[in-house]
Formats: sequence, structure tokens, C-alpha cells
Amino acid sequence: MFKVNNLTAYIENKKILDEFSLDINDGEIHAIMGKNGIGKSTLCKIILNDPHYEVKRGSILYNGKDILGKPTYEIAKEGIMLISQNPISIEGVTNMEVLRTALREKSSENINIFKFNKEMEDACKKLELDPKFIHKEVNVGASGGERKKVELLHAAILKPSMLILDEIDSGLDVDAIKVVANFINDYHKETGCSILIVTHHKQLLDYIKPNYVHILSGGKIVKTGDYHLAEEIESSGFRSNIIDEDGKSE
Amino acid sequence: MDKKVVNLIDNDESLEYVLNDNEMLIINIFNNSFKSVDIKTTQNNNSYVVINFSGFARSDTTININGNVLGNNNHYILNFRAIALENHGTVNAKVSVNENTKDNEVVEDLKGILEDGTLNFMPILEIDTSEVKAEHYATIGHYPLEELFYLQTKGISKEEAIKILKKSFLFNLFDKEFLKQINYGKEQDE
Ligand SMILES: Nc1ncnc2c1ncn2[C@@H]1O[C@H](COP(=O)(O)OP(=O)(O)OP(=O)(O)O)[C@@H](O)[C@H]1O
Ligand SMILES: [Mg+2]
Repeated sequence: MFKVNNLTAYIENKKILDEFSLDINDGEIHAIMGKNGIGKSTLCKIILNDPHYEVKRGSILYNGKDILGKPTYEIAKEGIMLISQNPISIEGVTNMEVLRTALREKSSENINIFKFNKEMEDACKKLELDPKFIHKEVNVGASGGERKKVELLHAAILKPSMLILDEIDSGLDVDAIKVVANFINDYHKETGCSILIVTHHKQLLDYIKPNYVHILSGGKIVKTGDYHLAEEIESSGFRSNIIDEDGKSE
Repeated sequence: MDKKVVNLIDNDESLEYVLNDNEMLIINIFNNSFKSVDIKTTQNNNSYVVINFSGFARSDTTININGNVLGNNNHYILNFRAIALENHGTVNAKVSVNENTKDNEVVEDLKGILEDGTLNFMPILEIDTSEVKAEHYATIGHYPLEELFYLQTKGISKEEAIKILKKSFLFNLFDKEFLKQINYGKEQDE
């Protein structure tokens, strides 16, 4: 169970989250939608304790453990993985090196190279990603869509129990969205992981059916619905009858 | 072009090279602890110099790297990477290009990361002609926060993340062959 309670957070003295709360039961898929600049990415990064943000109040619990303010790698080791909106590149460091180091830290057992390579190749195949990426530097020279796939390759190896996908669909062409959605659905089926999806587009939610869709506005969730809420937003926008200008629910 | 490669590990001697026409010289240096040395190259015509120099600054040192370009159509490239662990390191990197020369290209790229030491980079271009392409960069900073955060989101501890970034910062300059000699990253990739 993933539980955020009354989280209030700032960046550079600007309040972004205001008493934000959200509960995700194990295995559930939740989608968060909201206007540009409203704080969706902020939420994702705060969960992983990005040092840029300052949390003033609230708590974040994962499987009963308080993870708020824990070092980022410890939160990751609890099983939470963030795929950010714009994955960065790192020169001189290969995907292979990152994954091996991460696995080595996760378990004291020696890595079974055969199994590791097989898993990487299988994941590349499923993602329709050139296996050459395994030995390439992290996202260096990679396109927006390729980066998203590389991050999902990392997920396939690191096996998080909760995936946070910040606009995983941005930068993906129509075919790639299907490929990526299938990959995520299969991963969800196989592992029973929980998923938090941030998206602007109903299309992704056509493929990955969420249990709940939330609207973030004014620093908190102002409306929760099912898949149809995404349809409503797609057709009439955030300003319509869904929420008013102040971000309060009608 | 005649190509000569000089690979040096923990070098503590001053070096001087005069290039013949149509010669290429690549100097790779990795120092686990910088020493005060002078490195001087002199180029006449149609030659190519690449100096890749990286390592740790642990004691007070001054490194002077001088490139002299006397004739035409030469390339001079200096890549310098330093991680300052303790004390103070100074790097004077001077390139002189003679007057009445043309089609020369010089690049100086110095990057430093500060741990508990300090660094001073002095890239100097002494250029007496307008017929030259010259660039210099000197940046000194810390391990990039974004990269540290990214690696930690994969479950890699901060300590290990710094190790990874350290290695890429110092060794990204070098080819496989020299890396094998350095032996530093052996247990890592491939
Ligand atoms: N590093 C930063 N420094 C200053 N302000 C920031 C920083 N990061 C985010 N912000 C501000 O915080 C607010 C929330 O940004 P955030 O990225 O969370 O929005 P978002 O909902 O993800 O938007 P989008 O849909 O465009 O991705 C914005 O007003 C943004 O300008
Ligand atoms: Mg965002």
C-alpha cells in the first residue's frame, strides 16, 4: 500500500502541493491529470526525495514504512521506481554499468550473467528497442521515445513493485505507444505492481486501464473518477464543468 | 600521417615534443596523484596534437601545459580533467600561435570537480593571427545533482553513484587500450 497524507511542498518558496493526499492499494493503477505546471512532476520527484523540493508537512508511507525524506536510493530499494518526464543522459556511463551496479547493491548474491543478459534481450525485443542500447551510454544521443524505452528496460531488470510513470507517452509515436503500453500491461500482470501514471492524453489510458483517474489542481486532488473522467477532460478540458478556475471541484 | 601514442600512468616527469610535418601525437596521461610537471609541444606544419590528461589533485601542484604552433594547418587539442581531493591544484594551459600563420585549430577544454580541494585553471590563448580557429573552456564544479539523483533512483547509493560519475569523468577521454593499462575500472563494464 502506498499512502500520501496531507503533503505540503514548496519549490523556491512557491507552494506546489497543498495538503495533498492519495492512497494506492497494491496492484492498482492510478492516473493523475492536470494542467501544465500544476505540480504533477513535482509530486513524482518528491516521492523519490528530489533535493530541489522542500516538504513542509505530511507523510508518505510505502508498505507501512515512512519513506518521506529517506535517501533516494533507499526509497528505490523499497521498490519504487520513477521514470521521469525527460530522462536525462549521462556521458561515459553505460546502461549495463548502471543496472549491474544497481543489482549488486540490491542483493549480495552474484549476478547470474546468463539470466541477466537473457532478461535484457527479452525486454529489448518486447520494447522493440535495439539491443545495442544495453551497452550504450545512458540516453546519450537517444531520442525522446528511445529514452522512455531505455527506462522501461531498466524497470524490466530492476523489477520495482511500484512504477511512477511521468508522461511516459510523451515523445512516443502511435506505434510506440502501443508497444510501451503492452509492455507495461504485461509487467503489471506478471508482477502485480502498483502504477501511478501522469498523462495528458486519454489515449494511453485506452491501453492501460486505470482503476482511478484523479485531477490535480491547487495543490491537491480535486476530483476522482474512473476512466471516463479522462474522456471528459479530453473532450472539454480542465476549465469546463469539471473544476473551476480556483481549482475547486464544482 | 605518422601517428605516435604516448600512454603514461602516474607520470612525474616533464615532457617535451617537437613534431615533424605530417605527424600526429596523442598523449594520454592518468595520474592518481598530480605532480608538478611541464608539458611542452611544438608544431610546425600539418601536424596534430591531442593531450588527454586526467587525474586526482591531492597535494599543492602546478601543471604547465604549453602548446606552440609555429606554422600552418595544425591541430592542437587539450582535454584536462581533474578531481580535487585535497589542497590546491593550478593548471596553466597556454597555447601560442605564431603570426602570419593560417588554418590552425586549437581547443583547450579543462574541467574540474571539487571534493575537499581547490583548483585554478588558467587557459591562455596567445594568438598573433586572425587566421585561426580557437576555443577554450574551463569549468569547475561539483558532481551534477541531476545525475546523482538519477543514479540513486535506480537504487544505487550516493557513494556508488559518485564512484560511477568519478570514473566516467576521468576516463571518458581515453581509448580502450589505455583504459586496460590503467586497470582502474576492471571490475566494471565488459
Ligand atoms: N527547479 C525548479 N525551479 C523553480 N520552479 C520550478 C522548478 N521545477 C518546477 N518548478 C515550478 O513548479 C511548478 C510545477 O511544475 P511541475 O513540473 O510539477 O508541473 P507539471 O504539472 O508536471 O507540468 P507539465 O504538465 O507541464 O509537465 C511549475 O510552476 C514550475 O514552473
Ligand atoms: Mg510534468
